[in-house]
Formats: sequence, structure tokens, C-alpha cells
Amino acid sequence: MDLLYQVKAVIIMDTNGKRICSTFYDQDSEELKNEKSRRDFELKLHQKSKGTNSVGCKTGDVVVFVVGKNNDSLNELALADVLQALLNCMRRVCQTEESNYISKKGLLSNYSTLVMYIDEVISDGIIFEVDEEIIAGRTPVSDQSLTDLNNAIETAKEKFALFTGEHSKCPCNLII
Amino acid sequence: MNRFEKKDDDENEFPFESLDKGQVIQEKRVFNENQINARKCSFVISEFLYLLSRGDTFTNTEATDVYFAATKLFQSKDIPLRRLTYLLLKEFSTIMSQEMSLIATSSLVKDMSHKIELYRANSIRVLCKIIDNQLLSQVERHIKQCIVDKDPHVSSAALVSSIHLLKVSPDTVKRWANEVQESISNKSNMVQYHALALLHRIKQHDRLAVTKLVSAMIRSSLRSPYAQCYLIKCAVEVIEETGTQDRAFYDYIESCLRNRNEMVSYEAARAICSLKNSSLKELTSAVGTLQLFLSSSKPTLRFAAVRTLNKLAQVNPIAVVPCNLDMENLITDNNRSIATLAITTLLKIGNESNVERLIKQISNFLDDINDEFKIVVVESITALSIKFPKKYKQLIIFLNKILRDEGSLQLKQSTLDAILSVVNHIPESKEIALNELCDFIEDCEYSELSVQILHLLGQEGPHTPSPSKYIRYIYNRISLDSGTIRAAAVTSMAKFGLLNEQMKHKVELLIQRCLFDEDDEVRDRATLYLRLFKENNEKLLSQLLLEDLPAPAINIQRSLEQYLESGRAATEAFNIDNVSTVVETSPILSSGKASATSTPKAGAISLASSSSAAGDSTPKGKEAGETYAIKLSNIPQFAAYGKLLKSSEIIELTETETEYVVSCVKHMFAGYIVFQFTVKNTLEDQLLENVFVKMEPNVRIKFETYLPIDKLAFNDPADCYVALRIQDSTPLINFNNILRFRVREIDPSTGEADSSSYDEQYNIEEIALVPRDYIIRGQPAPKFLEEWKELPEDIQSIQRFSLNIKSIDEAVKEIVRTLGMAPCEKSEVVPPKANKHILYMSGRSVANNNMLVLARARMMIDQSGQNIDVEFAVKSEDEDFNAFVATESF
Repeated sequence: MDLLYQVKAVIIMDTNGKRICSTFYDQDSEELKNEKSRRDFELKLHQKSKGTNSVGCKTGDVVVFVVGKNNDSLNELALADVLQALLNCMRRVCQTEESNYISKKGLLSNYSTLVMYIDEVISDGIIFEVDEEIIAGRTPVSDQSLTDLNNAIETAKEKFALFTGEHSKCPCNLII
Repeated sequence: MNRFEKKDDDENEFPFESLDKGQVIQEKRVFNENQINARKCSFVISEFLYLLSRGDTFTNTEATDVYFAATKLFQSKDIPLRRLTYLLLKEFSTIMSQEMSLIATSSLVKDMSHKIELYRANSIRVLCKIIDNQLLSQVERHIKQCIVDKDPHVSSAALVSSIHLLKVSPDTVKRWANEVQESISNKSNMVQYHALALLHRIKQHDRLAVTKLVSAMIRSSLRSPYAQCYLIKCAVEVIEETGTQDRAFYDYIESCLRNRNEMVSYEAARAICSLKNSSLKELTSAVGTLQLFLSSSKPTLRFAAVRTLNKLAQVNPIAVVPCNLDMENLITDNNRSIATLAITTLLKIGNESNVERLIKQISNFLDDINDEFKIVVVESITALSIKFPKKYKQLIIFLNKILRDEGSLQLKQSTLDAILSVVNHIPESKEIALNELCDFIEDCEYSELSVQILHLLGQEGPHTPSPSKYIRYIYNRISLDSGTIRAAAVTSMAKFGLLNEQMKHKVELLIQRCLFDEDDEVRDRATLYLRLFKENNEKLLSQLLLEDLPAPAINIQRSLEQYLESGRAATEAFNIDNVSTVVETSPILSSGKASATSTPKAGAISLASSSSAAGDSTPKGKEAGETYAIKLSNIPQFAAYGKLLKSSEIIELTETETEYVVSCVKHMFAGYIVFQFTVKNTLEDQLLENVFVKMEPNVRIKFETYLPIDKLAFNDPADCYVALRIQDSTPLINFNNILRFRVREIDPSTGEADSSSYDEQYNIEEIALVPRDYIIRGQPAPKFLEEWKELPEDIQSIQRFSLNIKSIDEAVKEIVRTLGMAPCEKSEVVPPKANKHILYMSGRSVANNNMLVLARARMMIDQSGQNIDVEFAVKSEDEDFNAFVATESF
């Protein structure tokens, strides 16, 4: 019995069942071993026609599922925890000045950030981190003005280091 | 909005959706520019990531190209870009060859000791995907450092990566145990969890070490909820595997019930419910915790609680009773999964007075739940019918409603099975069930179900007070349905004619109308039955209509195919007596090197029979193997033994994980026994030669033949045989067995066998011949009681004994299992709460020309309620055989 690998897949799709971003961690599982079976699995989730050991949530025009391992040691509440973490992250991804609703458009426009967040929540089926603030801290988001600023600081520091002969401390704390 | 418009909208509105792989691969050239533009590169990376998630496939070359292009990005100092680069490398490293990805690891190795935490953490996560043993030994130092890093991100990354690395090089990772132990005290909760998990995995194969670790951890106070949940699971594992009576583990789990974190207290409650030896007090407090969750506002919490209670109700319904009221409130829960689980739990713990109300409530929301949950409901209803037989009317009506609503074949089949089971258990329900089913076939979309129902009508209908009303329904099928159903309907009607004298004339008239049916099968059946009715040949009719085939359908089919292929059809008639009556329960998957004589033709036959038997009710997997009978008849030494009468189930003679795995099947012929040993060599570096099983009997007997396996290669099972001559006797012998063989070592690098070899032997389990081996199960005797009376009373053998079993149902199963005979007259079905019962069984003897053997067991629970007194009687034409079965079986 495997006690550690708890998450089999994270599936984000739109309300028509079309995939936005799905990550599959369990390559050995019959249900998820190739693209076709994965699509079938998503379809089943979409139609809710099968018990799949998953917790899901619909928000705006997006549906999120966290699929657990099919074994008796499944803790639904841990999956719910992961789901909540993902939702928080997705809200961050979609955040703009005028709204903080999760939307398909928002997710796709900031796709790389979404994938990085998911990567910080789960590592190969193991729950990696669920605290939104920590995750955000580990995922530097590229913002053009900030990037330019960082580059400038970095270059300046390097130049400075040349003079002083010291290595400068990285500016990663500046980044949200 | 119509669909077309919407699609247009999609394309305009959402980025990426019309992305083309070839184009994106072209775009990767931005990675190569002298002045790296972080923004452009990030965008291209996210395009690649989208393609991967969309399911686009990259060839090995494409992936390698992308991977190497991306390694250029290590020159950039842009941190967000670096983070994305790691992600891209990680994803692509899994779809390209390891050798290639290993070339470009220097940047990653450098980053492992970079001053920026994010670099250290992510580089190690990428590296663990591509690393091999050699590189691992080079970077081991860095990984150890990262494990004890104060920064939680780095430490977690190193720990989780190490968990993955356990698959690459378990021995290396095991050396880091001290570092891992140290990181448990990291201030971060997640690090604590990952460290505990890794430590547990490192020690996983050493039960004692795991027990020690868990007891130590129980005493330390873990903060992380995930770590606590993990520790609870470990504690359960220790209790289950070692069967320890140490209450410390139980106490820890119980203390977690009061944890403030719901995830932890739920885990603890679930653990207690799943453990067999939980005390009543623990169980009560666990159920109390779950009960609180039932009224939580969070659906996941309610679901988790009700699911656990549902499982508990299966084994211990009384423990769940306190939650009755809360469960009833959940019936109207918005979440249908929760509602269904609540209902089925209530059904399990329900009492006679509220069953009706519950069923009504389920009917109300039946339309909202999916087929899978409906099957769950149907199964609970079946269980309920056994518990509360008086409520059959409501149950049948409810099941029938499911049968008639929209649904998959699987759901309908389960429902029909449930109805049949109710009819079997509660004779009073027969009439109402038949009426409902008659209505159902009027409008049934699945011909499989119609045929089964028509069969049931023919079987049960004639015995009801007013059989004529069923005839109308059956005849309706003939004018309205397809050929298969019409044929079943004709047979069904003929049964009415046979079993009910008054209806005979009417039935004949109806069958006459089918003589010009367009379907061959319908016409043939009609003609045959009509002729037999005219001749008044009741004997043949009842044989045709009421008795099962003399041999299993699959065997008959196989024999017929063999018969046609052999070309004998022109000269001699097919003799059904030659068909093996062995009910084959398990396939032999070995290719059979020993039976080098097995001709390709035999394979072809079994293939042909499997493809055409696909629609038959044969268990899956049987088609895979050659059948015993064909296999043995193709071995010249055994060909003369005649027809295979019986094969035992497969007996495992070793554990399944040992070096050599051996199993045995006992084959009975008239006068001979053949032991078939299937041997599997699980050692890659050995080739075995001249493999055979040396059997040492506890009495003096003479073996007929030994057939060894010439060569047994790694992982390619083969069979060796031992034959024994018994003539007409029924000896009960115990054999000690030793596997003997010559070993030739194989050089793992070249795969060539060594020239020298040595003798070796290997002890395997014993085999015994028991009375069951001399009895063929066959088909159940159709008219047991009549045949029982016909057999001579004076030479029957009666034995009285007591079984240490508490329920009649269990006793029936035990007796049937011990004797291996077929239960008759549905006597294997024990009415609920019975305290006495009679079981009838029939079989045939291996010796004495397949003589009929009947057995009757009268059972009664004794006064203490702990044992069952059995009076066991055996009848056949042979007094000695009667005594043999009666006295030696138990």
C-alpha cells in the first residue's frame, strides 16, 4: 500500500469539458496511461458518470478536479486541501486590477504562471506545498517593468561587485 | 447561442487554443539569440508547456532539440525565466532518452550550490529526473547539504527528489538517513512531512526498523498535519502487519481524534474504523467524531464521514446506529453522492419499521444519480431482502422501477440479478416479480435480458396458480421481437405445455404458428417440440427442456469443433458421452515446454473455440490457455489414459515470490492420476535442466511415469508430470515433494550459459489425495429427491459429526467446498435466520464408471450456538464408496 503518492492527476477544464491544463502523475494507471484514456477520463469526470475518488469545484467558466489514488488510504480532506490551494493560486493567476475571478481567459493568458503554481503544489503525485503565500513566494512572476528593474539592479550590482570584489546578494526578495 | 458561433468565439477569445506544434518548434530560435529576451523566451516556453498539456506528442529528436535549445537560457539572469526553464527541462527530460539529457547537466549541477534558494530547489528537482548512478555519486554531497538546508523550499525539494531517487539508487539514498532525520526538526511543516515520508520509505523493507521509527515518532510531537496523517497510516500498517498488542499505537491514533485539524482527526477516525481490533470505546469516539462531520457545512467533510461510516456499516452496523438521525438529514443533501451513501448506510443499519419510508425517499431522487451509484443502491436492496423478507413487495416494485427507467445494460443486469435473488430467497415474491417482469419484456431494449426473463418465466410460470396469463406475454414476443428472443419464447412456451397438462393443447396451437418463422432456430425448435408433443414423448421433452446439458457448454463446443476438424463427421456420429465433464475453473497460462509434443493444431482449436465462445457465459481468461484435456491428450504417455474425468483447482506449492515458483494440478483418469507441476524459474542468472518433482508417498506405491522439463529458462514457466496408477481403488496418500534439477549459471552480460552445471534441490509443500479428488462435481441432479429414493437405502452410509461453525450458511459453504459436489434443488440457499437446514448434493465417482453419488447433510445449530451438528448421508450403488466418502471427508 502506498501511503505517500496521493494525487493521481490535476485536471482543469472549461465548462464544456475542454482541457485547459491537466497534469497526470500516475503513468502506470490504466486509466491515465495514454492520451486517449486521459481524454476518456476527463470526459467521465465532466459527465460525473463515474466515481473517481476526486474532489472538484466549479468556479466561473472553469472546473477543477484533484484526482486521488484509487486506494483505501485516500484522505478526501487532503485532496480538498490541495484543491483549495490550487483555487487560491488560480485566483492569483487571474487577478487583474478590476477583478479577481477565475476565468478560462485569465488562466490561458498567464499560462506559464499557472503551470508553475501547479508544479509547486504537487511534485509527481506527492503533495509539495499547500500554503498560498509560500507558493507565491517560490514562483517569481515575470512582470516586464519589474524584470527590467531587476535586470538593471543585477547589472548595477555586478558592476559594483567588480569594484568592491564582493558578491552581491540576489534581489529575489524584491520579486513577488 | 448556437454551437458554431461559440466555437468562433473560443478561437478569438482564448490564446493558445489554435497553437501549432511545428510553428512553436520554429519559435524556439529565440532561445539562441545573443541578447536573451526574457519575455519572448518565457512566452515560447509557456507555448511548449501548453502543447504538452494539450497532449501533443514530441518525437525523441524534437524533444532533444528543444531541451538543448533551452539549456542556452542558463545564461540569462532573469529569475522568472530561469524558473520556467527548469520546468521546461523537467517536462522534456521525461520524453527524451536519458543519455542525451545527461549531457547537459553541468548547469544544473552548478545551480545546486547556487546562492539563490530558488535555483538550488528547482535544479535538484530537475536533476532527479535525469540522474543516473554515476552522476548521483558525484552530486551526493550537494543533495545531502540541500536536505539539511534551513530554507524549507530547498529542503523539501531535496527530500521529495530523494523519494524519487529511491527508485534509481536505493542504496545511496539509504546512506542519507541521518540528514533526513535531522531535517524532521525543520521549522516548516511540509519539510517535516516529506522527511518523515522519506525516512519511512528508507526503512520500509525492514519491519522492525519501521516499528521502531513509528514508536519514536509517536512520542515526538509532530506539528505538520500531513505528517500526522502519514504517521497514523504507518501506525495502522504496523498494527496490521505485526499484529502487535502494544496499545501505544492505538492510543496515539485515538489521541489524534481530538486533533484540532479536521484532516488529522478524520484520518484517525477512519483508521479506527478500519482496524479489526479497535476497542468499543475507541470505535464509539471515532463514530462520534465522524458524526460531528456529518453536519459540517463543507461537503468534502460530509462526504468523507458518510463514506467511512458506510464502510463501517458493512461490518459493524450497530456501531453506526447513533448517527441514524444525522444520516436521515443527509438524504436531501444537494450532493447526490453524499445522499446516496447516506441512504445505503441507512439501509444497512435500518430496521423493519423504517425500510418502507427509506425506499420511498430513494425513489424520489433516483433520477438524479448515475448508474454506478444506482448499482450500489440495487446491491444494498438485495442485501435488505435477505434481512427483511416480509418487505419483498416494496423491494420488487422498487427494483422494477430501476429496471424500467433509462439505464445501461450493466445496471439492468445487476437489477435483474437482484430480482432473481429476491425470488430465490423469498418464494412468496415469485408471483409479483413475474408479473412485473412480464410487463417489462413488453418494452425491453436489451435482448440479453429478455432471453433471461423468458427462461425464468418458463421455469417458474407453470407452477403458479394461473399460468395461462404468462403465455399471452410470451406469445406477444413471438410476433414482435427479434429471432433470438422468439427462439427463447418458443422454448419457454413448450415448458408450459410440458409442465401443465391443461395447457398442452393451447401451447401446441401456438407453437404451430411458429413453423413458418423466418428464423431457422425458431423454426427448428418449433418443429422439434411439436413433434415430441404429438408423440407424447415426455421423457425426451423434459430432458430437452428442463435438464441442463450433460457437460459444460464450453466443453461440448470444443469437442464439436475438434470433431468437425478431425474429418470423422462423415463416418461416425458425435458421441456426447466422450465430452469431458470437467468444469474448468482456471486457465493454464504456461506455454508448456515439457509438452513439446503439443501440436500447433491444438493451439488453433483452442483459439477457434475462444473466439466463438466469446458470447458465452464463460469466465474471462479461460480462453487464454490451452485446456487441460487437450494439453494432456497431446502427450503420448497420457494419451492412452482415456478421457480426463476431473482436474483439481491449482494448488500453490511455494510462496509466489520465491526463487522457483511451483504449483500443482491433480488430473484424474479412470485408473490413473496425473500430477501436473507448473514450475517457474525467477532467477535471471540460471538455466535449469532436467527439472522434475520427486514425490515421496507415505505408503508404498509404484509410479507410472516421470516427465521432466528438459530446459527451464528464466521467467518462462513449463510443466513436468508425474503419473500414478490406481486402478479402481481410491487411495488417500500424502506426498512429500522435492523439486530437483541441474543448474547452469548464465553470464548476465552475454546471456550465455556456463558449460559446467551442478545438481540442486528445493523443498516444496506437500500434496494430499483427499476423497474430493475421487468425486466429479458435474451438473446438479435435476430431480434429487426422486433419485435419492431410487438408490438403495440399506447400503447408504451415515456419519454424525459437529462443525465448529456458527452459521448454517457458512456450514453449507464449508461442506460444499470439502466435498466438491454440486448442490441440488437450490438447497445451497439458506433462508435467513434458519437454525436448521438440509443440503442436497450430487456428483459422480471417478472410479466405477462414473457412478452417480448423492449426499444429504442435515444441519442444526447446537444449543450453545457455537457449533453445527451434521448428519451426513451418502448414497450410491457401491457400499464401500459410500463409507469412503462419509467417513474420510470430514
